[in-house]
Formats: sequence, C-alpha cells, structure tokens
Amino acid sequence: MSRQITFAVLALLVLGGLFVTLRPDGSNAGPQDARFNVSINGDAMEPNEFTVRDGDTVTFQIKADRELDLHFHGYDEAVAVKDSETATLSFEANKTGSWPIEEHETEAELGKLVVQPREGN
Amino acid sequence: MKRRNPVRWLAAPGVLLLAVASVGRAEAHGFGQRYTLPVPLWLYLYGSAAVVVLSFVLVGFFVGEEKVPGGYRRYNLLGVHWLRTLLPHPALLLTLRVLSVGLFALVVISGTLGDQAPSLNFAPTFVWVIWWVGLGAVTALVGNLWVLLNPWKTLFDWADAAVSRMALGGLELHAPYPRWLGVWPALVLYFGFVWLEIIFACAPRPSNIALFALAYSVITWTGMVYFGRDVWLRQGEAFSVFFGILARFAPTEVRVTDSGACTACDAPCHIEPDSCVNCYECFEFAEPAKRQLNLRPWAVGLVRGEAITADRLAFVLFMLASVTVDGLQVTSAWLRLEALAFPATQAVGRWGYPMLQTLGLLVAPVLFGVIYYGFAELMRRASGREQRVHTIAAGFIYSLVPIALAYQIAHYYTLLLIQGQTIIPLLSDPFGWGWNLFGTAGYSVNAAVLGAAFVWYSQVALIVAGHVIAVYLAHVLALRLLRNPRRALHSQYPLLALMVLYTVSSLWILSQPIIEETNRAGLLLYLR
Repeated sequence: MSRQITFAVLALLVLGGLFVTLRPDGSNAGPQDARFNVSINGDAMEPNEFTVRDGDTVTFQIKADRELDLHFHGYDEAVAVKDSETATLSFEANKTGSWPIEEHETEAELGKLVVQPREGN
Repeated sequence: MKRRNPVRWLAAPGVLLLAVASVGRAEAHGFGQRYTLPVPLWLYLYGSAAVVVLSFVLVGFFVGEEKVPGGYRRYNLLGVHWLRTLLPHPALLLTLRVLSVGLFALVVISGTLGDQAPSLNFAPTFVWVIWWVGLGAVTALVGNLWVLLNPWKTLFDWADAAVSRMALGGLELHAPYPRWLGVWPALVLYFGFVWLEIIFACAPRPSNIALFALAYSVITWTGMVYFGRDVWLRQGEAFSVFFGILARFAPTEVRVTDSGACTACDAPCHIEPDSCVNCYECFEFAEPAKRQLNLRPWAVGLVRGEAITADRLAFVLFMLASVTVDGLQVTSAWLRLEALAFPATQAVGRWGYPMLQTLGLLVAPVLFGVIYYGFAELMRRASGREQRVHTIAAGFIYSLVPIALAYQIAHYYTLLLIQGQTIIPLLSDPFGWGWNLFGTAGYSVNAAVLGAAFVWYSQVALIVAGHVIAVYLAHVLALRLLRNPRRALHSQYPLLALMVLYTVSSLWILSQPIIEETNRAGLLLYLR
C-alpha cells in the first residue's frame, strides 16, 4: 500500500511540475487596446483574421466599396458602413472563442475575430 | 520527358480553399458551426505527457496484484419504495413513448413540409445534435434510454397490439435468423448512417432527413416482421446495438435475478451464475420481484467477460475507427491531404471526391483492425502464447471504448451546449414558418456560455480520464483472461502502447484548427 501511495505522490508531483513548466505565463501587461484598419472589397475583407486576448478593447476602422452592415457574431455588435466613409466600432472583447464577422444581410462570413484567453495559451 | 505544369498541381489545393471560402460565405450561420478554439500546443503536449506518466503509474499499481476483480457494488433503485412505484409505472412509460413517437413524427413532418434551411427547421438540429450527440452522451453517462424511447419499437408494438386485437395473430413471422448473420445487418446500417453523417454533403437538408428516417423505418419494420421484434433489435437495429455498447459504460443496468427467466426468454444473454444484465427482452417478461434497476460504477459493463463474436468485434472496431475519422476529417491537415488527391478524383468525375471519402471510411476500420490485431499478436507473445490471437483481440476490444467515448464527448459537448440551444426556438417554430407555439421563438443562442480555457482543460481532462479508465479495464480483463498475474501484466505493455497511441491521436485532433462541417458540406456541393 505504501508503495502505491509513493507512486501516486510521485505522479502528482511530476504532473504538477510539468504543468507549471509547460504553461505559458500569458500576457502580464493587462488588457490592451487593439486597433485595426479594415477594408472590404467585394467579398474580401483585409485583413480577415483579428487575434486579441480576453479583455482587450478592439477598435475597427472600416472602409468598404459599398454600403453594408457588418455583424460581429457572438458579441452581437453591428456597424453600418457607408460608401467611402470610415466607420468605427469599438467594444471590449470579453468572450473567448473564434467568432465569425458577417455581412448582416447575406450572412456571408467575411472574417473572424479570435479572442484568446488571457492566460494559458 | 514532358514537363509537368506546376501551376495545375498547385492550383488544386487552391481550388479547394477557394471552394471552402466561398461556401463559408454562403453558409455562415449554417449547421454545426463551432466557435471553440483548438487546444494549444503546450496543453496538447502536457496532456500527452500526463497520459504516458499515468499509464506507468497504473502499471506500477497493478504489479503484484493477483486477485481477479469479481463483482462490483450495486444499489437497486427498485428497492426504494417510491422509485419502485414511479419508474415502472405504465403512465410514465406511456408518456415517454408517446413523446418519443411524437418527436419522430415531428422530424418526418417538419423535414418534409418545413422550411428547407437546416437552421430554420426542427429536423436537422434534433436529429444530428440532440438525438445523435445528446442521447449518445446520456446513454454512456446515465443509461440506455433508447430501450424505452426507440420509436420504431413503440410503433411496432402498437401495430402488433392492434393486429392481435383484430384476432389476426401477431405481426411477427419469426423466420429463423441465420447465426452467421450476427450483428452484420446492424453494422451495415450503422456504416450507412456514419456515411450520411460525415460524407454525404446534403445530410443536414431537412427533406433528406425525413427521407432517411422513412427508409430506415421500412428496413427496421421489415426486419421486425420477418425475424421478430427482439431478434431484429438485437441484430439489425443499428441504434439499439450502438447505444447498447455505449450503455455498457453507463452507471445503470437492468438485471434479472432469475437464471430460469434468463434462459427462458430465448435471447442469447450472457448469464452470470444467477442473473443476466441488460438483457432487455428477459427484463420485460421477468416477474417484478426478480427485476433490478441497479446503480453501479461507471464502465464495469465493459468487462462483463462474455465471449465476443467476430461480428461484434467488427462493430466495435468500426465504432472506434469512425469516431477518429469523424474528428480527423475536419482538421485542416486532413483537408490538405485531400487536396493532394483532389486532381485524381476529378478525373473520375463528380462522384470522384465522395467516392474517395467513402473509400477512406471503409479503409479506416480495416487499417484500425490490422493495427489492433498486430498489437493483439504482440500481447499474445508477451503473455506466453497460450491464447489465440483472435481470443486476445476479442477479449480486450471493449477496453478501448472509454478512449473513444471520452474523445467523442470532448469533441462534441460544446456543439451540444451551444448549437443544442437552437432547439429552444425551434420547438416553438419547428417548420420555420414564423410560429411561436411556446413563446420561445425569439430565444437567441448564447454562444459564449463556455470560456475557451474551460473548454481546453475540460477536453484534456476528459481524454486523460478516458485513458485511465481504459488502462484499468484492460488490467481487469487481462487478469480474467490470462489468469496468471505475471502473464497478465506482461500482456499489458503492448496494449498500453496502443492505448497511448490512440489517446494521443485524439488529443492531437483536438489541438488542430478545424474546418467547419458546414464548409465541408458546401465544399462537396460546390464540386458537383
């Protein structure tokens, strides 16, 4: 029995040690402001993937070649973009996951907002 | 030598990606959309390391252990007075059955008449998410509800009762079921179902679901009429066989404590000294005093120690392989592989690509079987060559089930909790006609119920737990099958290596970015 307890304790130590060693520290800097200039031409959004961390404030400045409503799925944030004008949308990215960004009317997916957890990645 | 045109070869993956992109646009918000992030590399490595470390620790635990684990602790729920009154109450059973038949009818009707957009119609979400993923999880974690809910069984019973009342005799012809046929009919039907799930591009289309449900009904009822209801449920009804295997993991069992009743009901039940477990036909006809509905530890049903026939071994192997293929084929790594084969499939024509995938689904279990038998041979050698390789392969196959189950739950539970919510508005508006029967049509899905970090840790924890259970089951089986504890221990090393391999590949799949199933489905549409 004592051998088994030794085994279990050793295993716990090894697993705990490995976890602490492998797990990245993450960002210590706290929430950041992330600004993106976005242009939409036809079906292409440039850039089309935005990676931030949980709690960051994201600000999108969006230009498009036509009038459209852009919808941020999961956050239910939307912004109306007019021809040749820059539209601005800002919100706190506090839901982790990979969220589609869609043109509201057609539900076409133009890009993704990837919100990573603050720690452990 | 003629120079190859590099552009053509490079263009193939491009065409695929283009197809994926354009379809993604057309089908955003479509069916089966996932919002989770893949497990990060460090956590994948950590999980793999934990699997290896824990495997050694368990083996260390087992060294010197000689007692063959026998029975397990049970608690009979029917021994509790109010449960004994409530659970077998005809009104409760009838309510459940009416509900189940009603849902079955709703799937067929909404699939046929309702809006054909998968996300606006009750049928796709109910069948693919609530029933297939949800009931699968409930069966493994709670118990075999399918025995109670199976609408094909209930409808057959009702029809049979009606026919008997008209004094026309019963519906069943009771043709003798050929022994060699085993559970092969169930395996063929299950293969068809998995094919629909992961290869057929138009599987989420409501009218197709209604059509499949009706076609499957015809097959099932024909089988029930010709061979008898219970024979077909045991050998040919794919979902009864499938859920029955999952239910071996469940912490509940039905038991008949009367070996006479166990032999009398003509089902080939495995009879323990004085009782039989999860032998539903016997349970149905046994005296109430001889019936038990027991709580038991999880997974003990996988080491019951009955002889496992080749057909059943094939069924379990296909289950194990198809779970892996299902996960693998949505990874971008797999898509890149497919892109390599894409030009060749186009030469065959528009069916080339689905044919390649079908071939993959056929080859995967064979490959899986070959690898498994290879390891079984190693186990045979390690344990003193006393057993035949088939005996070893059959004897240990159920020990791998927890790994597949853990992977399946880790992979799908987010879909169940997020996409599953759409059933709330769909219940109010099953046809997509703008109804609001229960006032829930306006419910909007909360896609952020699960934080990414929680999902990662829970997925890795599930996979590691599945592995630990599997290693433990293998140990119990080895002591029972090989008797000599030393040999039993030696036989474990090859199996342990196989289990580590299988578990780590499950973890790897979870760490891969996935190409959404909607896109894949659309990809095939695009290629037509």
